[in-house]
Amino acid sequence: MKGKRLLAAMTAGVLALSMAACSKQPADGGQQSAGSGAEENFPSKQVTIIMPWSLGGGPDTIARQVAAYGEKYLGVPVIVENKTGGAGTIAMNAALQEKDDGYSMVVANGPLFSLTPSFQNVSYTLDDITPLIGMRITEFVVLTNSKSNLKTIDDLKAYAAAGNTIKYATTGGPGNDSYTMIAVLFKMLDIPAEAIPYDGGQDAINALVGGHVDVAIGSPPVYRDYVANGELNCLGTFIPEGVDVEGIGHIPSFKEQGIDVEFTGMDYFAVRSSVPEEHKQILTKFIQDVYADEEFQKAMSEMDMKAWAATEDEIKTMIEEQTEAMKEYIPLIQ
Amino acid sequence: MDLFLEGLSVLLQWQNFLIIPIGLALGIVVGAIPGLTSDLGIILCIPLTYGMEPTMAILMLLAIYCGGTYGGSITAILINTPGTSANAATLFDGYPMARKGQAYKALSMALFASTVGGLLSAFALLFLAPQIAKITLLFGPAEYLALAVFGLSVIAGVSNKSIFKGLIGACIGIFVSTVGMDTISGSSRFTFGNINLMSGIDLIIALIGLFAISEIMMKSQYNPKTDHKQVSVSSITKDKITREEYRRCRKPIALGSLIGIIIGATPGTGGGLAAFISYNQTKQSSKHPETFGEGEIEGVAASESANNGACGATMIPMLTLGVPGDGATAILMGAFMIHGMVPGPMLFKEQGNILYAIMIGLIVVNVFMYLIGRVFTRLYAHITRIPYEILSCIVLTFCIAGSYSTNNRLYDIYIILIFGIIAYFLRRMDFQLVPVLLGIVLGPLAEDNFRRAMLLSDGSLSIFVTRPISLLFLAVAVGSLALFAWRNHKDKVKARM
Repeated sequence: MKGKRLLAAMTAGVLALSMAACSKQPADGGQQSAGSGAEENFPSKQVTIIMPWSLGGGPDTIARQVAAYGEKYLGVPVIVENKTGGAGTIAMNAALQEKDDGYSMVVANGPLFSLTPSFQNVSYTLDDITPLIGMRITEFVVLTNSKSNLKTIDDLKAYAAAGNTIKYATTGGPGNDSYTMIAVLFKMLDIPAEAIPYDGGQDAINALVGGHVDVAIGSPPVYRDYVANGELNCLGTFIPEGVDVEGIGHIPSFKEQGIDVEFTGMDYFAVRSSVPEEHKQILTKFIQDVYADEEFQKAMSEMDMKAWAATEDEIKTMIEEQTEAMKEYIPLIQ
Repeated sequence: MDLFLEGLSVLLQWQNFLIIPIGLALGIVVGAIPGLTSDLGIILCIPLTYGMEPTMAILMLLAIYCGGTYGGSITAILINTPGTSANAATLFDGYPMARKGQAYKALSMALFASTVGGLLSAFALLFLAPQIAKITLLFGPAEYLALAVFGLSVIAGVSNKSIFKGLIGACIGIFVSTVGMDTISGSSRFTFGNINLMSGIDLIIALIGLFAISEIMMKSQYNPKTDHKQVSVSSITKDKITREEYRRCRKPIALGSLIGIIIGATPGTGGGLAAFISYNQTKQSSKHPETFGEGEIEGVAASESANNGACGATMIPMLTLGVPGDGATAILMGAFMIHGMVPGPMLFKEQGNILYAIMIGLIVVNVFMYLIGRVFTRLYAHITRIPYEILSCIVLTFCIAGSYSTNNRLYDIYIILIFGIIAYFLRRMDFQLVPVLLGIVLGPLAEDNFRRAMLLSDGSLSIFVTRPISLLFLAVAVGSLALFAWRNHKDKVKARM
């Protein structure tokens, strides 16, 4: 009997507490408000990273590596939840529907803000999120099959001048970043070319290795082995200063080759902008600690990947610049 | 040879032999629950493998994969719902066998065929991977379309009475597969602005709705007083496979394993397609095709040897080219990367010893699967003793939990209910559900590759007949349809006489 009464009292207590917590919520659910207030012992329970891309891809692999250090540096488990589809917008929507208490992070990229809104109706803006820290840079490289005679941009031009249409494999359809960039490249070169959209980076590279298309776009680590063993050949990269890849050497940028097109793919960790400032700092510190961990660095270098510890401001500036550039590019291919 | 021996020494550690049975048991359980697939089992277990040696980690995940592919046959046989899409072809004869009281026999044959298929596939991976990978590279859009057409030609063989109902079913399936974002044009189709439909309808969700929910609804006429047959406990596991039956199944299993290896090694396909093609080929080349669908043990052998035959072979393009053979291997590829191995052409050069350990380990996995499967088969056979009024509640609970866990969203539960209701009416109108499933599985493969081929050929259809592999598949498809038509004609003439 006594037990039951105690239970009832506890239930009432919990109810009262939760009601109090509810009443603290801003009535307008405002995006810019200070959220549900900083928690003293944050984090006191599991933190979830919402992942817009599928399991096993580059960002997912890094996020899972980071999550594995949750207990060590954050004191709570961190889990990765994949919510794929809709070019990342499904995950973005899910993240914005979560409570702004900092227990949900999301992995985002530049195109979600610079590109996707031109192709889909989206319900978010850059102001809804705060980038915490960078995750990685993606270098898109344009490749040809070494068996073909298309070794340089000039070869491509000569091939097109002979009356051929170049068929190129992309890693997704219109609205996808790789699709947009390679289409813009051919527009700027003024070469007749046609996109053959494939499902993901592996498929596109496979189509090129199998000789089914003339050109393909890829990002590391997918193409590295093929270039290293001489099966594929790099035409150039969209990163303005070019990239140095272990086992391949320097890949020149298109900018260096006199074509005015550039793009830097990036992924980063973010939270809703209304998450309390203190929580943001704790989460950022957590990821910084992981990046500094020797074991983590070793695991990353084994996968030929490098963590990119950019700050909030750096990331925001890059997204804004990218958005401006896209305004120029998109009309070219529409 | 050096790498082989090195691999063997990496493999021969007691931890590996401990983890394989654990992975298998997990795999068989998740595979047998509709909605929980080996994919999900692998995802859930990846974090557990962080602290393990790479060999041990990958072997555990492979054990889940193989166990899951076999485990799905258990529910296909016992409750007429394939546990995973790879086991859909097992329904045809597995469930009728169970209804005839031969559940144990069907389960045993599924295990035996799965093991043989899995073993042959593991050997193919070990000895032929580089050669098979070279052929895989020849597969362009035209070849994929031809393969999909060949797969769709199976509809003729599996829609028993009416080919037209089979075709309508396939069209419904293809329609379902068009929902969502279209990769090639980037536009969304049939989503009606609903963001939940953007990524399309998950195969596993459709599968649960089509088979499990409709099966429960079909049983609404079931009368527990008269329909439940009391079977004595001892008789359930007494009904063993006879020597004669093993002999009859030799050919289906050999053919099924071969088909499994070929289809499995082709990226973007998978065990489900292999099982359908194998079932169809066995039925067509049989002297008594009329017994198929009525509880023919050869049918179970054909489909189960093929889907597990695909298991090892799906690893071939993944390990050699970095292209996953199916959904589960795409996840496995992620696991490889987490353990510092980047699948692709250089993997054999850089980490050959670990790879050999894994490939030899896959053979061990299959041997263990047989041993563990024997135990599970005995247990699972008793499910037939549970009265359906209780079993249906358990199945429904698992279906709902399983479909929720696929994407962690409530929306998928509505989808399974809607699919279940549609499937119920289709079944009442004597439609087969398997052509619907074939449409869902093969629709995207056919459509995307047809459009890619058209882009490549500048709109000329000749691309499909000027490339040898494509021509071969199309010819086989036409040939098997012609054979089917001729047989049908002969039957009709016979009936008239």
